[in-house]
Amino acid sequence: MRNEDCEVNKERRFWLSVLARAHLRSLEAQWATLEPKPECRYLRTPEVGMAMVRGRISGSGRPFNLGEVTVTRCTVQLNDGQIGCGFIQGRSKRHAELVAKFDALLQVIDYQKELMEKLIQPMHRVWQAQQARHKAEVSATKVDFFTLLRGE
Amino acid sequence: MQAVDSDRLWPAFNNPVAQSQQAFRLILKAMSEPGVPVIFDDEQFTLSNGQPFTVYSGIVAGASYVLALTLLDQDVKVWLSPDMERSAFSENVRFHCGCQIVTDSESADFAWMSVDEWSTSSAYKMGSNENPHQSATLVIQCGNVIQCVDDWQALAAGRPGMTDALTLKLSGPGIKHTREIMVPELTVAHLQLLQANHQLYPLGKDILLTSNNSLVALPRSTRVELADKPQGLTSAQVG
Repeated sequence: MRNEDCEVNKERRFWLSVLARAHLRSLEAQWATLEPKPECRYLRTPEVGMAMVRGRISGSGRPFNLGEVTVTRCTVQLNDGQIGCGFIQGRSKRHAELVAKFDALLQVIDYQKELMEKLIQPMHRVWQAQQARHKAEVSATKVDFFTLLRGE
Repeated sequence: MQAVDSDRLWPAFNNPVAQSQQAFRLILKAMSEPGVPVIFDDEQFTLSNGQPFTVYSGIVAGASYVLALTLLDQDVKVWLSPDMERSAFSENVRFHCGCQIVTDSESADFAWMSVDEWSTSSAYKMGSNENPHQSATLVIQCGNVIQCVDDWQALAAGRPGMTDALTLKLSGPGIKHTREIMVPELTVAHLQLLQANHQLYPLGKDILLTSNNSLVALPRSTRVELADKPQGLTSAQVG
């Protein structure tokens, strides 16, 4: 049971991260094509707030506060009771709302397969391609530093 | 982290900033005029699904829910009585207010309870001489409407049997001479608690009585006595 829970959480974390990184335009386009549109209500209307981003030097040093980012969150509930949450960076209330709605739908088995194939996977591939392109651009100008052993 | 039961979550304010300011203004009015009931309006305090706030009030009065949404945030500690803790109210307080719910009533800044659970068995913060404001605020939920008593005869005629209820005579800051209120569920033990609380002034707790969609405040500065009922007016005669 616990392992199963972990699997669900892992998958949910994956789609939430993809949705949060997605462009609002592509989410809107997907939402427009969705039929029938599920009815839902807000448990928490979209609201803008701040979150402190913390970091560690090279991932292992002492944690420090990097700075605050604007975060928008929203929670919706479908008519059948399923709850979806959306947290995004930035101030787009509509984006947070759509993430929450898609999150709720993705937890419903009937919708899950189709949405994963039509929405999440393609968006993830787009993002991966972007990341790869960016990495390639950056690594072209990469400089390696060596410290030479001084013979004393 | 406990999973949230989806059937038990209620929507919160539709327009949190404006509505919590309006609710705060009403709470301020109640606190500055002890004994005057303020009413939270159904149309003004709609929830994010478009329904009025009283729709979800099962075990908790609508006014208690409005108070929670208005007064609580992540900086305060809240104690919930056993009845409240068991109800869906506790989940909603956790979800919407993000406040810390404590098990020990003495460390709480706010306490929510029903009038039957209000007794001497739990102790609450009453502030210190240096910091009298660091005391607890008790939100006590009553089932029956609390009313201001202006006209005894009219009251007795309109609600036979009600004249048996405990009637309190209030005086102090915010009250010109005296003001009388009738709280059907209060007992003599509760009256003693209120009197003991006033004795501690400037320390002591502030008390908010809620019932359905109305709120009456009894701050620590208010002196509470048993009101004298007019001669010859008893429930036997009225009923």
